[in-house]
Amino acid sequence: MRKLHKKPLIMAAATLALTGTLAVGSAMAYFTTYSTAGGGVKMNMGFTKTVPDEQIKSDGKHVTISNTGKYDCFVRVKAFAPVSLGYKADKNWSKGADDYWYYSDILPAGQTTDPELVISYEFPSGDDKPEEFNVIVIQECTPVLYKEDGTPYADWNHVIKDDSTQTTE
Amino acid sequence: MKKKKKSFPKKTALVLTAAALLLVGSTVGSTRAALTYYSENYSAQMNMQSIGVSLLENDKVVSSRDYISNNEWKGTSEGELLTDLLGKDDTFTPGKKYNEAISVKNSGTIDTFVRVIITKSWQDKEGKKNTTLSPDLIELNFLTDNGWQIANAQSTKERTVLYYTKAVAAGDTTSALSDTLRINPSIASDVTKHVTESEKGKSITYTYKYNGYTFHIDAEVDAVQTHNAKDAIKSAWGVDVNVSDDETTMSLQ
Repeated sequence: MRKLHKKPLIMAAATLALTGTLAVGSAMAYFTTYSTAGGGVKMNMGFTKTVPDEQIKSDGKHVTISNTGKYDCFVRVKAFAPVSLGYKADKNWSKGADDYWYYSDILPAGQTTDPELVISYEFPSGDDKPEEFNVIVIQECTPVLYKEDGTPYADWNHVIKDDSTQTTE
Repeated sequence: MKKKKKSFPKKTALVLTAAALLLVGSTVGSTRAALTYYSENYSAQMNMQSIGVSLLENDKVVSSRDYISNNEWKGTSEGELLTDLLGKDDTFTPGKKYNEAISVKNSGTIDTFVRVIITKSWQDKEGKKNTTLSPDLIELNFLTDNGWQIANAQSTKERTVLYYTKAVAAGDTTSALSDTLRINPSIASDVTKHVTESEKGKSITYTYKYNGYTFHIDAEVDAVQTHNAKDAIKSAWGVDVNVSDDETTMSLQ
């Protein structure tokens, strides 16, 4: 068998290598670029605490609610007594269908309802009048929720079930 | 006696010829490629043209990377998002929609095709990603009737890949790929109960599961030349696309 000459073989190999290099060069030559950005917002969520204050004056109980927690909320008030009660406030308070009185504005953390809600009552007259009676005021709060357009609202049906991580409405 | 002339070996001649043909063929090929390719480059260099891309959030440039020359780039390729989402004294509220229009500007001088990869995640106080919290609740409202197309096959719950199907001319800005951002209000219902017992009795407290966590949005924009776009996109992004003959539109395969 005849041996191939070395010189042509080397030349052929060099040619192939050159060809390969050219192919690689053209495959990589595309213009590209990139840019990135990122960011985040921390969720600050929690349940607040509200404390009622009742001042007994001649015209009845003057009730205010203070938000002593860290988060904004809505509040409502209801009173119970063996006598009929009257409610009075210059503004912001309004009666709901369930006999609760609702404070219309958001009660921001650290602030107190304004004006006072005055709960008036009349001492019964007649022979069967009790010697004393209590006017019990209860107040509740609920977190501020937001609609898609940013309008705040309260969901008073927002009840936390006792042994679940979910809430029900 | 006449000396017999030594004949050149046929086999060697064949190999040489083949090698020469290969060399010539490849040279012609690459010359053609170079003519097609470098003719654009040549004019580009003469006119100081280069590729560039900028990421915009609510019409404001948040990051960019533009080629200058000699492997030099200008711009801040790592920008910040959501810095202007809230006012000075505002707190973020679940359920509320905030403006978050993300778009892309061609800040170079050659036409490009672009894509954007959006990644959503939750991070804890230490900045570590928490994969147990749902990225679905981070609702970036994507717009897909204005030229943007979501590549569903490349997207996951955490990552969304969007391609702009029109070529972006130099200096032009794409339509916005999103308009609003909100956190699903259901996170306000996701609470955990804690019971502690003491001499006074049981104390029950509830905490929001997502309280203290940070939602993150990361965006990456990639741009590639429109010339030979099909091959360029395959090479740069590893994606098969169809490109119109005039190289002004593309679609995913």
